[in-house]
Amino acid sequence: MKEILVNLDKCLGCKTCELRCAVERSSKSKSLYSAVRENPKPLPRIDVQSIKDGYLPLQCRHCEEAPCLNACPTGALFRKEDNGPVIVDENLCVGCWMCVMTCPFGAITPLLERKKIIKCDLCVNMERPVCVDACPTGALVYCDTQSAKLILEEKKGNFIQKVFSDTSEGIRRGLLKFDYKQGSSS
Amino acid sequence: MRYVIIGNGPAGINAAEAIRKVDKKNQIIIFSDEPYPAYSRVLLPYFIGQKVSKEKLFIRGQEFYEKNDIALYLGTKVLKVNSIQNELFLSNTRRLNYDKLLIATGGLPKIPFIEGIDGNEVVTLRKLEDGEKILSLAQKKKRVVFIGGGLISLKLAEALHSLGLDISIIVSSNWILSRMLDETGAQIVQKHLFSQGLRILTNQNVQRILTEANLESKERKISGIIIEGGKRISCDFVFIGKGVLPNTDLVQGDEIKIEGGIPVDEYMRTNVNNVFAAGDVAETFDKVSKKSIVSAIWPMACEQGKIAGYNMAGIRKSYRGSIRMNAVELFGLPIVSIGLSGGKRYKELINIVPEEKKYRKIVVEKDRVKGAIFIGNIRASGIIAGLINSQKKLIDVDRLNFLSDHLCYGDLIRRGV
Repeated sequence: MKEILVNLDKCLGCKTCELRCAVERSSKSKSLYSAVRENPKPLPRIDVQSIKDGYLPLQCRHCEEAPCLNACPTGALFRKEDNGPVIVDENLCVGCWMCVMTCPFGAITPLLERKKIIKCDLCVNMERPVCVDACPTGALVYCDTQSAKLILEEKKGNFIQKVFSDTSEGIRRGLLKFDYKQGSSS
Repeated sequence: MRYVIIGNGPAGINAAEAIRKVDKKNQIIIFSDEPYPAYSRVLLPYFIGQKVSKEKLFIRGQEFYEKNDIALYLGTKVLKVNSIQNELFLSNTRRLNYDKLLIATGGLPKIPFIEGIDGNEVVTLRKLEDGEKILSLAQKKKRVVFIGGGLISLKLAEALHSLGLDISIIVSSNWILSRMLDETGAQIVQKHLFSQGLRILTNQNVQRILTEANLESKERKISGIIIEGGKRISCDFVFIGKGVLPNTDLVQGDEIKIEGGIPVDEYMRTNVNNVFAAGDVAETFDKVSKKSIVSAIWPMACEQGKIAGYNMAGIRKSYRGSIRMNAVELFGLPIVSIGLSGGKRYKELINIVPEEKKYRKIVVEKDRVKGAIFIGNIRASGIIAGLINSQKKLIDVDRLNFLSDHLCYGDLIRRGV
């Protein structure tokens, strides 16, 4: 299973990832020039947020024990394989907002008019996630769990990672720790 | 070794799935007193409002049971549990022994005592067959009275309104959604529902359901209701939405302890070692109120089921407790309520814009968030739910931007949470 590792030290907050995500994944035209005039406006599935001394490009963390998956009463949120990305089947989503209520990262966006949600699906149907391709500084790294481990062990930079239930950490700088846990192994 | 799960709802199927993940070998049996594979009760109002087709109600098809090698017995009710003999008495007169048992029998609609409430045109909504009955009534009738103004009542009222029915809602509390909202929040929602053409009477009790002779059949048909004070409201059928009670009939008289529901420990185990309970029938620990509660919502049922399943299969996982929460959308207005909805001993941060139907309230006790209400803009509700869930200690809550329309996870980090 692959994941997006975010190197917070490299993010300049340029929002190129947001722009490309919105155009590539949500616009009809797939071109920036036309996308800006579309109605409804194409929305990104990644959100660059300002933090104390930098920026946090945040998309769905595809948590191992994903609370949204438990919350979805329609089967719209699902995984194709164990530990794979959490994907939404738009045809099944009715806009009950249970997942919005349970995502501790606020990474699921409710589209009130359409009664659907959008969220990052790691661009499962593409070779690589658009945001990773778009990032001009290399702050977003697409890699498998094994390589992620190696990169994190080098300790060069502050990273956010997929959220694992057993460590409760996916965001691993002292500041960014969030005591998020559902069921836990004891 | 034989695992038996009573109930084919979210708790039951999640338990079965968890067991099968770690135990590929032993037998798993699920009993359901209904004739269908697992479906979503949450979707029933959408089905009645014809927003979701019947096929889409089913969240697990036959192939799920086959793939996971689960024996599913439909239309079979478990009448009695004998936890001393590890034995079940089934509705088909047979008996069955188990090694590990999960009680996931869910809840049953609460029926208040009102004259005439046993009539045929008085309906509740819990099962798919209830949904089909309501749908067929809705196609023949014009006016419906709702007894109770909770989430299921209002969601169904929305559906029936979309089918063109005339709707009156009689609420005994001071305001609608009284378990989710405070008065201010409920007023916003109530106004919104009025503007859609719903009739809502609060602080009123139904005294009697009136019937009259029916020319087409022998059975009498409903003609209206009488509320306290003698006022009459005409209607053709009545819906009861007074909440649910844990379905504990099958353990009455057994060693398994019953309180509000069936109390369980952090491993979802009852007082009997090899018997577990999960979902709407189980009584768990509430992280916010520190009391034992029956949390009858889908997300908790799934989580509890999973944890019960793992523990039944010998993998120790603990349940960290429930929080009371719910989300609903009514006529385009989204509403989320988490934890406590307020109270004198708490500090309340409030942002209200009535003309935009927006309301946000964060309930704080010293340095911890204890509850929240979101109406209109619900985007950041999960972030607050996360804080309520973790009961994390916060420094200087006022600085935390909780009332901002654009509250995001980064804000928490920026403020050192």
